[in-house]
Amino acid sequence: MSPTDEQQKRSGKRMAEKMVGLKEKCVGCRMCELACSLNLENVFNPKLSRVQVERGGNALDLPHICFQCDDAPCAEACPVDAITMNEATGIWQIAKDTCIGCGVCVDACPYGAMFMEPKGSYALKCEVCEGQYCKTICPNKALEYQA
Amino acid sequence: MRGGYTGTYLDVNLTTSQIEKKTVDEKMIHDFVGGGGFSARILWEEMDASTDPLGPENILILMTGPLTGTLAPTGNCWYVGFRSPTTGIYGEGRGGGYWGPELKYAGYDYVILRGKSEKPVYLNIHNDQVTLEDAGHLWGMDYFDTTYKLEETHPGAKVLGIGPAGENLVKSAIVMSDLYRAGGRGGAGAVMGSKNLKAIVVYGSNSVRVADPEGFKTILDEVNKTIYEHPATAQLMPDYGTACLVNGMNAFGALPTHNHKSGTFDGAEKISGEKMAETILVKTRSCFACNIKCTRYTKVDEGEYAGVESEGPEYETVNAFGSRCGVDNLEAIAMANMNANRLGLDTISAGTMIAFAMELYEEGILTQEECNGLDLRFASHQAMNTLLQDLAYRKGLGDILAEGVRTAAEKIGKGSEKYAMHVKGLELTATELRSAQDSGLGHAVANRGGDHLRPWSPAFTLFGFGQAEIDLSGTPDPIVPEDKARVVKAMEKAAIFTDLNGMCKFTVLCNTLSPAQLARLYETITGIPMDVERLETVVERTLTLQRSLNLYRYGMKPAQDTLPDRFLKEPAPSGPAEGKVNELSLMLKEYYEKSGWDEQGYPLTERYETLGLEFVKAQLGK
Repeated sequence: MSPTDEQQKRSGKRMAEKMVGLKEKCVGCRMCELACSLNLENVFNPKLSRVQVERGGNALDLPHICFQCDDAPCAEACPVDAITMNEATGIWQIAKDTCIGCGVCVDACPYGAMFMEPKGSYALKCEVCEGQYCKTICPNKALEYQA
Repeated sequence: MRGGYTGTYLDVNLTTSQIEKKTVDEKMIHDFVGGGGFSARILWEEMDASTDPLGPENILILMTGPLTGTLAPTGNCWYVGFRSPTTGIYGEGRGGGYWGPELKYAGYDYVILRGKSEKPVYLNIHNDQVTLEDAGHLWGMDYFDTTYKLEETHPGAKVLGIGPAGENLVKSAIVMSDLYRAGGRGGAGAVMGSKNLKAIVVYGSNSVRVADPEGFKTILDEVNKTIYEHPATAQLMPDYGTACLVNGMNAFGALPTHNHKSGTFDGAEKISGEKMAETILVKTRSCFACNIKCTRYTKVDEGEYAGVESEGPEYETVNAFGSRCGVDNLEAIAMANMNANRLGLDTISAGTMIAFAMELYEEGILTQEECNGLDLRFASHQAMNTLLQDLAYRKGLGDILAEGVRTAAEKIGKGSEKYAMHVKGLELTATELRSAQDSGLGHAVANRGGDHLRPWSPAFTLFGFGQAEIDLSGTPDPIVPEDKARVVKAMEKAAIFTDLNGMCKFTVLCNTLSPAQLARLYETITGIPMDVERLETVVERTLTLQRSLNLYRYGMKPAQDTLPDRFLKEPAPSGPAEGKVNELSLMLKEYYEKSGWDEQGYPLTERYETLGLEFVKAQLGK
């Protein structure tokens, strides 16, 4: 099951703010990755992006982005409780200073929506930033904001 | 803060296995921007007339531009620079995809490859760890399988490499990246093969910096708006890919057919982008950082060619394996496209070669036996696909064609030169040169030989894009030579700048983005001031340096700025240009003058001074 289907199944449970990646629309340009790293880090670096596109055989283009799921296996797996939910928005957030960069959350996420900062210092995920520059830049409306 | 450039390059000696990291020369950055400008500058220092293109002394430069790996639209290009084994002159190619950006993220602006490895190897670049690895298990493998194998060994890495054609030193062999992206018209794949280098694998996780993030976002909004509002980049290319051109070119009598005999093809509709969208198109895709989305992912489900699956075919490929070979079977063209990608062959040159052989067969110059037993009439698509394989493996007639169409004609003799469609040894492309006079000029003067992309001026003269930007009184008439040098010069600015900065030419092909917009993207990312005047100077400097390299390093004569007799002497048999020939000499004179070259086509001494090319002037005659 793709994250999109899964997300739709779960979306009724709780009204969290979220970004959703639509693989039917994605063309694999990865402009979202560049937009994200520019917006949040002021550089171009797909590996610092909180959304990452998988490009595979059979013309697969799949944006992996956290859709703030209910049970959050990443938070459960975190040995230092660095991933917590903002009760007001329903968004799971990483406390960068608490995170020890162990990578357990990356393995725990069933949707491939958790990433490691390239030097391995801390984990990265979409926390639905204010600008949503990824969505603005996407040339094919493959990222959707839902609340 | 400087952005865009990483400031570091790799210098790899394959003979000694020595790998050095070096600092990119500041003056070169300032004077030549990147891409083909850097390549020409480096080749000028390293080459002389005795350099054997397939000898260890030739160098192969894998280049990027300052905007490669950035969010500038289509900031994905890699370039390859070398002395061409096909033409003997300046060789350059450009590819898209993902490999170029990954090289930047690994921390390098470019890679110079020298010498020749004793055994097959591949270069493995993982950020600052760079090693040469044994490629014995990959040698002989096609490019797709090579990629799959290396992706298994190096998860997340991007793979650039060659297929069997490059290994077999076929002169139309190219360098491929990201499965479907090709670069290196003029035999870069053969140069790579001659060095026993099968692939370059890259993984990068560093950042490319941006000097002025807010300024960049502002100009980005503007250029994206331009792209989303321009009919070429907002509709034609995303809807129908580059093959959107087929029907239009045919209507203008500019779709080369039957080895360029004519410019109209009865089966055009059947091989058009519109037909592709209705039949074999599975999905529209993009290269890295591209919002034009011209990539076609295609698949043939049933019939003789069932199982064919690839990206493309592009317009050039549709023309090369389609109307130029008289083939109106889109699935057969898709097959040839996929196999050319697997074999690592330039579809443009390979199609020209096969169309050449077909005409020789029909003219009785080649017998069926000499054609590897194939009944090689125009339109015979099975024979075309067989000969394509034979070309890559140098089998029979394929071995002769593997030397390029110019040399093949010399070998075959019997008047076959007349049917060899090339300029300076580089096979011609998908524009009929009597129906678009300006494109004849562009092909004749292009620094890498018969090249359609110096600018693709038919965008203006045939399709009418850029009317506001190029001031010509009245409607530009594509079949008269007057004022066409001005069109080509006007369109060169933006077109050539994308050969340097890392962006795809499709952003400027139809006068979509302006030179001013390109300049602003460059300066916000790099922090180096750029305006239209400076951009124009950089472009002229690059063209004149490449020209000088050809004239003074590689022994080219300006008399080679010409076209096959077919265009100069045989009147077009059909279409709007019926009865006309290409009036090249009139346009050449005007072009030389506008370029600051003398009547013979040599750059004037003072031109070297105004362009800041004193180092060339100082070495003339040496």
